[in-house]
Amino acid sequence: MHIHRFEKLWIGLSLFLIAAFISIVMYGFTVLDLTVPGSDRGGGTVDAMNLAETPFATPGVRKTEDGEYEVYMLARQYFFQPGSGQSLTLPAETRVTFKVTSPDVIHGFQVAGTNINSMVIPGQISRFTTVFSDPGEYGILCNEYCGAAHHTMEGLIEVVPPSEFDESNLIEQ
Amino acid sequence: MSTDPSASSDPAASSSEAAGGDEAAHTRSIDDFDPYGTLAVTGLYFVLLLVLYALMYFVEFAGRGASIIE
Repeated sequence: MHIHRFEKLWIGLSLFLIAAFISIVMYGFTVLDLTVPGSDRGGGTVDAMNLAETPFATPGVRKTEDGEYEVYMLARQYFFQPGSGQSLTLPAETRVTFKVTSPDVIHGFQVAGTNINSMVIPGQISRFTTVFSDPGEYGILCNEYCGAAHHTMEGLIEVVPPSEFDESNLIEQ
Repeated sequence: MSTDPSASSDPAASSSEAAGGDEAAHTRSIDDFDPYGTLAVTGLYFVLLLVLYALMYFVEFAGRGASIIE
């Protein structure tokens, strides 16, 4: 089939565009270290009916042996525990790993204005690590319809400079 | 259907005869046309797509505060 040279040119450019779009996303995954929550994050599973026998019985912030922080959080009808009522305080410029699960129905965990966004599924532990580079207040919201009061399900993360982070509120391992 | 032999003659041939028998009009290939305007619009559109995609990814997504890194 005979194709005009201009058409060959823009067929080639179209293929280049597709390659460029994929390259930009791959650049994010490799160089920028961005990632998405997924089953390969090692979150694992938990018995949603028996959370009393798991670390989720005492949700809160823990310090790991390598000086990082872990947040065990429950998303439930209709609050985040911790996060709702009293804000969750975290240090800035520090790696924080969230482990979130639900004892009732599917919820969403989204930190408004950031790229932190994950589903929270009963029986599954949503695990993801982030670093808050700037101190400030970050709102949490449920973005998965979870019942009649879904629209009231919100929380607050207060990020403070590392020097002001009070470790007396940590949960013992 | 007409049985008149004159009605079944090639309409293209009769139209070229009407145009004075200009056979060159039938032998032009597609390469004789260079749609520079279309090329310019298509090129501009592709550049726009690439720039806006990069802007969306690097500014609106990657540049938007805390991200999941692991």
